[in-house]
Amino acid sequence: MEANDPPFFYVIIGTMGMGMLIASILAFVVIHQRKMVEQRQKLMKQQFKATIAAQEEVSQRIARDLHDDIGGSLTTAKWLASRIQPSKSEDKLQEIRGQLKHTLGDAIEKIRSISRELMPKVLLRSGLPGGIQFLVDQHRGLDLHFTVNIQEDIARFDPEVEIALYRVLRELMTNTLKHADARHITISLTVENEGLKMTYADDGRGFDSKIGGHASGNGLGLSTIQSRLSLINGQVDLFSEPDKGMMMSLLIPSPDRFPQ
Amino acid sequence: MNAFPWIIVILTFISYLICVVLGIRYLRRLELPFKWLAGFIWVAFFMELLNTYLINLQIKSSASLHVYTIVEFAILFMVFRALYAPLIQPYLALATILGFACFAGIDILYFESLDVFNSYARGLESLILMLLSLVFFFQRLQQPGPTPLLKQPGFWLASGTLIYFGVNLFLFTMNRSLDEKTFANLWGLIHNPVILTRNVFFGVALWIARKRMNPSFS
Repeated sequence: MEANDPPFFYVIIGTMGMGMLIASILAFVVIHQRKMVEQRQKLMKQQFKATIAAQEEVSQRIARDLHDDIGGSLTTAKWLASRIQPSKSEDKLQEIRGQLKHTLGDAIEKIRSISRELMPKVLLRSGLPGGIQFLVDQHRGLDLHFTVNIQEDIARFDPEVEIALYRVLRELMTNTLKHADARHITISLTVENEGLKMTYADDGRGFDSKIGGHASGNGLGLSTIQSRLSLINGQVDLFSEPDKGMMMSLLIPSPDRFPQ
Repeated sequence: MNAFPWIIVILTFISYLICVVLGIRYLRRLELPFKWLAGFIWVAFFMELLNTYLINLQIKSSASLHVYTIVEFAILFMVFRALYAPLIQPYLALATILGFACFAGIDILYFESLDVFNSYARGLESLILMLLSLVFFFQRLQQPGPTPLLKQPGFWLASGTLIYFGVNLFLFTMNRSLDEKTFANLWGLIHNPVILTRNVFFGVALWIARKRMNPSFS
């Protein structure tokens, strides 16, 4: 009788065991992968929100600058222009024209300044090394010391890559100024086997990088950086501890190079 | 006699027919792994018809099974090679298939003649193909991709293969310890429902794969 036959039982038990094992493997893989896909979608949603928020922030800053600075200068210019009347004496007219010229010059300079901040010519002309130097120069005189290590003869990269890294660096510097109370900033840019690598470190108050801090700011800073880098397939590594500053490493594997 | 085995046999034939029709209907749209899969189903269906014919003539089908094992292994290995390209290099695929064919030949010559079930060759085939199926799941855990697994044709292909060879492993390898009647009963009880399940999984794989211009399986 089959039921008393040990091999029969071995086959039945072995088959049932394998069946359960396979069912468990399939269930585990399906559930685990679904969770990972959901996490990824959540992260993408967060990054998308961060990108929108960053764009919104830039738009608001431009609107504020246009309204407060240029709007103010042009209003003054309009008022000065309205004062140019034939009834006024030549000396007075000369004075008004001088003020008008000065006010318009001021407005032009402010427009240039906004334009430079949005897209500095030096970044387009000299690539990342020029862009980094431009940002460093902008922050000089703020009781900050910079150490900049840029690999010599660094190639030009896809403008998307250069602009993204430039914006990330600007974001990092802003965060350091706002939150870190740092004295020293170190920036390096190198091309290594893994790709284009930029590191940024400050000696500020730091934070626990596991729970966030000034690099994450209001929760948007790090998300914005990750969002920018994800667009160019970049990777971010953040290291920080309270009172030990922070260090961020940005890696762009195999970025497209552009001829000089 | 219990009607259950016959229902399974009829359903298995229907599942083969559906898979064969899917393979023919969408062959041009399918990517390489699923073209191989469609080819495998045609061969397996032909083998099923041949077996049924031989059984009706009271002729043992073990000789054809020996040959079929080599063909089945070669085609399924090519399915996975295409699925994992370029992970498995052409020379490695060729060496594995030839190596397996040699092993099956030695098995026939020295261990299990054409009159008996080829448990060694079937066992080795099962282990290799189970391993190849598991590689798919391992890859998906490493790199989950944006598409849910159930919408990936590769998942159904790997699952069908794993279920078929995994569940049948003990039946394939321990058949020498069983008498003919017990083996025939277990074959009806285990192998036929599993082959039906496998065909359903392969059918779903073909059905999903037909919609994809570039089924990189993620």
